[in-house]
Amino acid sequence: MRPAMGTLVHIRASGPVDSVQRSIDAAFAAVDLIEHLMSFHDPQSELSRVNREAAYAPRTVHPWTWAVLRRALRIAEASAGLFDITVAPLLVRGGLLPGSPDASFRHGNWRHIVLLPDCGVFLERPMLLDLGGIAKGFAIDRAIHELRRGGCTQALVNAGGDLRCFGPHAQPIHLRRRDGLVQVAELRCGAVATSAPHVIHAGRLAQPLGSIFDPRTHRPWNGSGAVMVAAPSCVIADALTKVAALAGPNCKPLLARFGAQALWDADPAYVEGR
Amino acid sequence: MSLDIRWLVPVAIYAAAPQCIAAKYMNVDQARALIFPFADEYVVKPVQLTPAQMQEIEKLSGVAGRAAQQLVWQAMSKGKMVGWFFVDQVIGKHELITYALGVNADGSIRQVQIIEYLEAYGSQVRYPNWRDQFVGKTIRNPLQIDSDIDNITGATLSARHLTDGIRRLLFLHQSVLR
Repeated sequence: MRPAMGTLVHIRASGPVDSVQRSIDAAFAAVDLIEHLMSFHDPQSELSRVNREAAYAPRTVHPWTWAVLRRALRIAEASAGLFDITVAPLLVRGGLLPGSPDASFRHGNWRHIVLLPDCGVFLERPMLLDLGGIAKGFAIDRAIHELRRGGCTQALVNAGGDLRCFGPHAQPIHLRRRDGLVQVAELRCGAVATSAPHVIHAGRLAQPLGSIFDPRTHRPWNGSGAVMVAAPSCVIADALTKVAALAGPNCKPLLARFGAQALWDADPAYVEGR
Repeated sequence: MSLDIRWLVPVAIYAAAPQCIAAKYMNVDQARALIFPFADEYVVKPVQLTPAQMQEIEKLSGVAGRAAQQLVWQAMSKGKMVGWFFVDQVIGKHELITYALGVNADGSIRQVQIIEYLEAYGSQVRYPNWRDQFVGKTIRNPLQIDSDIDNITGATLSARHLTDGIRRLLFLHQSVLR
């Protein structure tokens, strides 16, 4: 277990002794690299450089950053903009992301992001990209990839409730509710991500987190429930929780296109893998 | 890459994100002041129903009482009794709705106020035009949902249970307080 990406990353793996520790190290290295590339908070990250410079000239980015951007645009297109990595100014305004007041104006949307061949990125307008809604899922996917490649037979990567696993044994998936943990699923292979607008403190509802902004209204999502999305990969599950939260069960056909399923729960909650 | 998940709960236990959160709208003093603005004194008249009285009220109103005790005040103005003030609770869907009922000295309904509504939705029972349907009604009216009281889409259970509760209080008033 290590802190990364503003949460605790928990890796559990089993397999041949010599390969397990090596692949766990490789998995954490992948997570660290992704944080280094895609952190909005770190002014030295590649993403921060894109935000500063890519509106003036195309920039070449790491293949992983480019891969995350490509997936983000695919989901933005499929969801008609409900998932949009350009809502960062709203989070800056809400005090959820760092930035000067200048950073709190939104000049464009996902349609103004242009991906060029050979990992090039160009922003048609000065914009702030934030991969907070998708990079964590991607990091979990890369960690799982390392564990699988390293010869682990069973593994679980859990970063603050977003998780992915593989192996012969099913993992119980719990949803935290006001009245305690409830097991809602068994996951043998695949990923689960959850979004809830409220945190729970000692069994009581605390302040809304308000971390999902609706790109249509520029207001935080204020539903009171939780939504859990299961998908083959965590990058898809992570991004689609935002769509599922904002669209409700109407988006089931969209989820199905990505091989995903969702659970909407009216009780304020978040998920926990055990 | 594949997804192998087995849900242990129905996958659509979804209830649309409630727009209204639980709220306490007023306290008992404020409800009294709204219902009897001219009253200058309230005399507590705690009611303790006997099993026989509970049975009688249930038979007359068609509603089983929740408790043998009932919170009742006599509203007085310049030493004269002007009405009765009840605070009661009914189940909405899962949570209790606390409401106040004012009854005139002649036994007709003066006003209904919702004090606390804890359900995520159904709080349309607070709307004045719905509550105004009760004004002036007595036990000679049916006081039934879909008869002389309109139901409310989206607040079906709250509306029905409030109507039942109010009807029961009127029969309690007739049986015990007159």
